Amino acid sequence: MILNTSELKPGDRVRLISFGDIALTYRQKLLAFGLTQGVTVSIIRRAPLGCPIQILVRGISLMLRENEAKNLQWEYA
Amino acid sequence: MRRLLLLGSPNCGKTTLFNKLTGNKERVGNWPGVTVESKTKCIKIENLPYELTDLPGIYTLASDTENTSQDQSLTLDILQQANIENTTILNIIDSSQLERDLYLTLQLCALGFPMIVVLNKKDCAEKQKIVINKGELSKALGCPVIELEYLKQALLKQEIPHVFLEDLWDTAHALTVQVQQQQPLKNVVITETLDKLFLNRLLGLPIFFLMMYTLFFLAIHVGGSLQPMFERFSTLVFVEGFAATLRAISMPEILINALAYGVGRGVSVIMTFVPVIAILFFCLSLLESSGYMTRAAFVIDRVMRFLGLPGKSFVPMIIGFGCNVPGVMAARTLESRRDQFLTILMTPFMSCSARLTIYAVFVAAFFPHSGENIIFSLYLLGILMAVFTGFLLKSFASQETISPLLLELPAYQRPSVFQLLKETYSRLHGFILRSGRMIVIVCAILSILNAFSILSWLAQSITPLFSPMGITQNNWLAVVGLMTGMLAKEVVIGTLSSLDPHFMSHFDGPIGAYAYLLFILLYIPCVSTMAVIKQETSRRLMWFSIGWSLLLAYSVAVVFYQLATFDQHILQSSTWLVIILLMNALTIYSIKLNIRRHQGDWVSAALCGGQKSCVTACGGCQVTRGNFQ
Repeated sequence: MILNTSELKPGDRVRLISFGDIALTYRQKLLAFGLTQGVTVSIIRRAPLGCPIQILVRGISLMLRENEAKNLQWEYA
Repeated sequence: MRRLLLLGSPNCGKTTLFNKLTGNKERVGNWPGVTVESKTKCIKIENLPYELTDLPGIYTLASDTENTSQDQSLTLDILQQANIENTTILNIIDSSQLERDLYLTLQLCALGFPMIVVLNKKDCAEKQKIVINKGELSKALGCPVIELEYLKQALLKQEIPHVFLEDLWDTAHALTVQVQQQQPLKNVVITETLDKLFLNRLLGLPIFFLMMYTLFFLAIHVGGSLQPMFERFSTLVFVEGFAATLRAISMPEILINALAYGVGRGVSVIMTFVPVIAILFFCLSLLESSGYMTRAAFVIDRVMRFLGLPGKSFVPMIIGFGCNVPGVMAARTLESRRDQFLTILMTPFMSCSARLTIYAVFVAAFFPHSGENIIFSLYLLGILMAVFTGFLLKSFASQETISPLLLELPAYQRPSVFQLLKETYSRLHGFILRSGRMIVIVCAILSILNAFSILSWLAQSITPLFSPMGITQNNWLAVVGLMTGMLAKEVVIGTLSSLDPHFMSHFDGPIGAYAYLLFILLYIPCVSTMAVIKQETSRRLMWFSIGWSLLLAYSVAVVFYQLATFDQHILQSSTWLVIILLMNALTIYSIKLNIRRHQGDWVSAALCGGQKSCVTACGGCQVTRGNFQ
């Protein structure tokens, strides 16, 4: 089952399967934090107003905005 | 237009390739370091325009400022500033030195640019009986590998893929697993527990506001309560003491005026900011180094995004309500220059506590029953104008409006007091030295103008300009107040009441008073704020901020006064409304043109003052543009 970033819920463990059609500068930044294809990510929580999302990837606690990461596609790990 | 960057080790044949493609005759030679500066030329390949840049050769992307020569750091700078969306790297490899050159190639791969590897010096390789398997190399690198002759075809043939060296992460992971052992850490547990509280869905926002309120309270109230002490002390020493000393050595009165009441007053103005700024920066450093600042950004990001700003911008704005000077300085904590500049432009519209002293006096006299609503409306209008300014710049900018948010939430840390004090000191020091100079100069000029009664003469002669907002000629005092208010807005009331204790009676009732307050709210930031804007951004942006706020202040005050008194003089009011509309349309149009001239990048438009550096920042190859081969 393919998930969009907006469908991720706190507590989920998901695998990044595609970057979709995202800006290259953004992808470059994601890469610098270890978000590579196939990497497993834990969804920690959402901010009080629903966005951004806090995730844990390769031991790094990271926040990303839902609308900026909306093209990323995930599946349950 | 795509930019092509020629990159490779020294003497691998970049300039030879550059000459071949452009038809130029740049100097080539068979030793490293022939090219010591970058050359850019526009070329056409099958009618498609490209901007080709030849760069000095480098062996590695690693640089240390002491040992990297200037030509090599130029290459690194250009590479760093290159935009990944429109730049392709042509990595030239000396086929006879494959291993040496692949070291650079692999480093380039990690940058994520689209890249073509060009094998050069085939003749040298052939002499050494070297054959390179291009297909194999291309697969390993994830980008096309071609020989020099096929470069044009390769550029045209297909879209060149971006190289993202994801393998690096696999290597890092494998290595970590191999060498790392980890016992559960106390710090991580603490961080998780604290995050559960600070980022809690229900408590996160209230805690954030509490933190901001504490910050505001400490800086503005505690710092502010120390201000009178600093002021009294510094006035005693730098103004009165200084003047007495000068008198004692029988200096002429004019010099005493300029030195003691100008320069001395300037120094004393700077001194009064010291407690506020010191406390503010101590608290900001504390929030930053403890790790809470990123949590604050996380919690409030959603709200600030409406304004086209990241969550962190909230802090400078809040501080701005106390005093704009530390507000502008707090914008330093933002990640991108664009976010910082935009926040700095918006902060002066936050009504500072100095302005509140003016409102308080006027409201007590003219609006005894609805004072708090009047003051609230002024604060709200300031915020609206800030938002309007932000939207305006955003709509003219061609690049993406907001830098993507990708922040690491670091583990909480106990900050070291020594480090905090050091940071506070260095920021305070910067403020006193750099902004101080301008404050002193302006104070000196104003005191000289005042000494020769030039100030009141000037005020009287420009008072007619203020008639459309209800300031009549016999109320020229109000204009003197505005002029001294440039120094510091808290002196407006002092000026007015010392010149005429009954100054209120000259205003055109509540309507005239409100129009005056509107002008006070929005018109140019005080000299200290101007000085920090210049210090933090550029002279050009400071002038923009001055001009823009003056225009908004005049427009809002006039429009309000004319609409409020519309039925008394319909024709005159309509004329003024049309004039204001035209003035604004014209200004906004010229801002738009200016930003367009800088390819929609208003930050570089703000930084550009016609200096040379502007050409690289916004033009690139303007010099050679139109000079197609």
